[in-house]
Amino acid sequence: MERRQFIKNAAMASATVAATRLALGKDPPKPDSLPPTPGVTWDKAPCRFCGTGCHVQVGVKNGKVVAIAGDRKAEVNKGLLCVKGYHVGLALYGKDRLTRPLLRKGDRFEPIGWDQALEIVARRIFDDPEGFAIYGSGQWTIPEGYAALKLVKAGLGTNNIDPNARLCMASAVTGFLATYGVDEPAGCYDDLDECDVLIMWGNNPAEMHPVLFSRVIDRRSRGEKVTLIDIGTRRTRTSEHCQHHLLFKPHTDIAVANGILHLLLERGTYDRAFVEKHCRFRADSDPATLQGKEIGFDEFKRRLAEYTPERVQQISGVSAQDIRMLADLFGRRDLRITSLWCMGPNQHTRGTAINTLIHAVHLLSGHFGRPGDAPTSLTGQPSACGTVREVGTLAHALPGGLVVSQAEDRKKAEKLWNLPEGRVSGKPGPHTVELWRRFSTPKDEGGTINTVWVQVTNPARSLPNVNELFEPSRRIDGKFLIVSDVYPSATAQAADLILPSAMWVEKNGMVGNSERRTQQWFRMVKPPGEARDDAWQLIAVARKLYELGHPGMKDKDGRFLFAMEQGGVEVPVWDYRHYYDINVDSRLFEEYRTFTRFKHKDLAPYDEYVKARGLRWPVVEQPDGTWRETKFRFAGFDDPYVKKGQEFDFYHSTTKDGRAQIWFRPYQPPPEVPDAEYPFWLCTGRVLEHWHTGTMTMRIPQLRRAMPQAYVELNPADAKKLRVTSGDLVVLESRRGQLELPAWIEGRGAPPPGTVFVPFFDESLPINRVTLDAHDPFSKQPDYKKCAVRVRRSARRIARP
Amino acid sequence: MAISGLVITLDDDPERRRAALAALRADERLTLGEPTGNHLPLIAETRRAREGVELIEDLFTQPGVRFVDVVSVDMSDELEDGDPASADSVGDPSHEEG
Ligand code: SF4
Repeated sequence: MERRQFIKNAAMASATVAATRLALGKDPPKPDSLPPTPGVTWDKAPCRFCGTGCHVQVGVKNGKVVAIAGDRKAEVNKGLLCVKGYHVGLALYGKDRLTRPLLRKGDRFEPIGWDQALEIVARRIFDDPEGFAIYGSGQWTIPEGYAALKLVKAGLGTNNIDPNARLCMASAVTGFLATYGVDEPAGCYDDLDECDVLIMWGNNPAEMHPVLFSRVIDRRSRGEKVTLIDIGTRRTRTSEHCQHHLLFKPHTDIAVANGILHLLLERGTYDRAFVEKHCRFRADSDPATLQGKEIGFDEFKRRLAEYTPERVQQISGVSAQDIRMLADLFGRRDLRITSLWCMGPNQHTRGTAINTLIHAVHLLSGHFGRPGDAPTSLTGQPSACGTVREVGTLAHALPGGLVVSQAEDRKKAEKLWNLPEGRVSGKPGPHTVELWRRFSTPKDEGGTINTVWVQVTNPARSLPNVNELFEPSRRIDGKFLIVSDVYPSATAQAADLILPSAMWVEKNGMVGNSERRTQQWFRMVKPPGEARDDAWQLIAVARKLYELGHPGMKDKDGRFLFAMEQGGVEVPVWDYRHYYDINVDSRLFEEYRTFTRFKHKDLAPYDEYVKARGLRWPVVEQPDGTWRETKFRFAGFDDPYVKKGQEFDFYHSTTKDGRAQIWFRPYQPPPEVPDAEYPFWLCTGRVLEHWHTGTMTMRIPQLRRAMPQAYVELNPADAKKLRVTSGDLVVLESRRGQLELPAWIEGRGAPPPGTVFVPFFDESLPINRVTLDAHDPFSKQPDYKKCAVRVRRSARRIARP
Repeated sequence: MAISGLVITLDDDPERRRAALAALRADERLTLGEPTGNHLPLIAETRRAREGVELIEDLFTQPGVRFVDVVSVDMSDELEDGDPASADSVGDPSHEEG
C-alpha cells in the first residue's frame, strides 16, 4: 500500500476509535494499536502546553518529531487533543532556536562556549550569593525544579527562588491551605464525568482546557443531562455551551459566593450533618493571617446576613433570581456539583478570599467528596502543580509541602539532604513581584537582588506592570540577567547572558498536572546545536561553584550536592558528555520522592511512571507490591490516609481535629476601579491557539496564522461611541502605560459595555505595560483581570493583518 | 501534505445536523467516516499543516458542529520538505519571528 494511503487509513482508524469512545463512553470492542506509519517510532509524552496534561504519542523519524497522535491509553484525554496539542511537535522546529550560549557585548550578542558561560554564572553567584535569585516556572520539569530549589536552598542557604506560577495559581494554594491545611484539589477530572452541574467561576475551559471541556460536552452528546453554568465577566466560547451565563461586575464574585452561602443558611438547606461533623468556621484576624481566627456558626451566619439576593444583585449585577437558582442547586442533596476555576479567581487582589469562598460553598452545602461533588481549581501550566506546588520552588517552601519558616521542616530537609544544621534559611525569599522590584531598584536604594537567572519563562512579557518591575533593571548598572530559553524571547533579548535550552522530548522529563497526576517521558530526539537540559545547566553551575570553593556545594560529609554514582563510581554528570550516562531525572526524582510522604503526597518509584500515563498522588504501595493512586482525597472510600471507618477526614486540618474550615470573607472593593479619567475595565487572558506569551505557539506557523496578533475586544456599543470599527487601531492607556492595538468587535469573546479584553500571547504587543501589580495579601499573586483604562481611536490607521 | 484525524461532535437537532453533514461532505479536503451517535470521525488533507488549523477554526463556526477534537496529525512530508526549519539552525536573538 502506498505510504500516503497508510497514513490516511491510520488517521481514519484513530478518529473512528475516538468517535466510538466519545459516543459510547468506552473503548470499542477491539482497541487498535498506534497508527502504522512506516518508519516512525512512537513513544508517550505529556503535551508541552497546558495544565490539562493530555498525553500524546510522539512519532519520530530520522531524529525528528514528524507525527503526533492523541494517546488512547491516557485517561485524561482518551486519545483526543486540542489544536495546540496537535501541533506540539512543531514547537521544536521554529527557525530561530537558540543553539549556542550568547553573551551581551553592548547592543549585540556574541557566541561563547559553555565553559565560559558557566564560569560567568558561577562567578556572579560566588561573589554575591545573597544578591542572586532564580526565577523559574510551572513549565520546569519536576527534576529541573528540584535541582534549582536544591541549588538555592540546600546550597546557597538562601530562599531566593520563585516561579512564574506565583502569577497564576498562588491564590489557589493559599485557598487550599486556609481551608484544608494542605494544598491541591481533593477531587480529579473523574468528577467531570459524574457531575450533574458544572459551574465555571471566571473560567473559559472551552479555550484554555479544551480537551477537559470536551469531556463534558461529549457526555451531553450521549444524552446525559449536565447543567453548565458560566459565572464570568465576559461572554466566551465556554458561555456558548452553557445553559446559564451569569455576568458579574469585575471583582464581585465574592458577593455572589456570599449570596449563595447566605441563602443556604437562611433556608436551612445547608448540609447540617456534614458541617457539624467535618467543618469549623473562620474569618479574618487582625492583623490578617492565612489561618485567621475561629468564629462560631452563629457569628458566621450573622456576618452573612447582609448578603441577601437583592443586595448581591446590587453589588454584582447578577440577578437575585440567578443567585437563588445557584442556592437552589447547592441546596439539593440529589445533585452532584463540580466547580472549576483557574485564572479568574486566582488573578485577583482578593484571590485567597474567593478561593476559600468557593470551597466554603461546597463544604457548607456538603457537595464535597463524592465523585462529581468537588471544588477543583485548574492550572494553566503543565507542571504548576508538579514542580511548583509539590516540589516547592517558591520563596517560602521546601519540597513536599514543607515550609522554611518551620524549624522542624528545615531540620527534615537538612537531614534528607545530609546538610549541616542551620544550612537551610528560615527567612522566606522575595515573592515574584518583590523579587523583580528589587532587581529593578538600584542597590543603594534597597534593590538587593543583583543577578537573576530565568529558566523556562518570559517575565519581560508576563510580569504585570513591566515598565516598573522589569524594564528598569535593564538600565541599572550592576544588574545581570541570565536567561535559559529555547527561543530568543523578549526576556532573552533583554538578557546579559543567554543559555540555549533543550525542550520537551529533547530531554527526559516529568510533570504534574491539575489533578495531582505525575507524568513521565524519555528523551526522543536530540536538541539542536549546543542547546542543553535546564537541569544539567543547574548542576553544572553548582559544580563550578564547588570548584570555586563555595562551602554550600558540599554536604556535611564533603560530597558534592548533586553527586551521583553508578556501581560505586561517581558519574561526572556536570560534564554534558556524561549527562546521559545515567538517568539523572530518575536520580533527582527518587531523592525528591523521600520528601513527599511528610504531607501525604506520596509518589511512587520512577519506574511506575514509566509504565503509566501518569498516577495521581498519594500513590501508596499495596501489600502485593503494586502501587495504587488516589482519585478522591479526604474521602474514606478512596483515600488510604483517612482513618479507618471515617467517611471524611481532613487529616491536615489547621485546627488539628480532622475538620475543614469554612471562611467568611466580606466583599471589599478592588484597588483600582474605572472613573471619569480611565472609564473602562481591562481584563487580560489567553486564546485557544496560543500558549502564554506565545514564544512557542507564535513560532508554529499554523497557529500563528490562525491567530496572528493581539487585539482589543470592545463591546459594540462602546465601539460605536468611540467611532471604532474592527481592525481600527486604538490606544489603550492605564496609569502605568499604554499600547496601540487593533480593535475586534463581536469577535470570539464579547465583553459587556465598559469592559475590554486583551490577550497576552503577542510579544510585540505587550499588554503588561498597562496592567496593575497590586496583589493578594496572602498569596502575593497579582491581578491581571482588572484595572482601569481609557480607550481612544488612534490617529494612525494600519489595518489588522 | 498534512493528514489529520478529527472527530466532530454534531448538534442534536436533526435539521442542523443535516446542514452540517452536507457542508462537510461538500468540502473536498475532508473524508468522512461512519458516525457513531453524534460523533463523526473524519480525515482532513490539507496542502500545508497551517491550513489544517484554519480548517478547524472554520469547523468550529459551522452551524450544526458543536465541538471539534483532534486525534492525530502527520506532517512528515512537510518536515522532510524542510519546512519548518531544520533543527540545526543557529539561534540569532535579533531574529524576531520564526
Ligand atoms: S488541552 Fe492542553 S494539554 Fe491537552 S492537547 Fe490542548 S494544550 Fe495540550
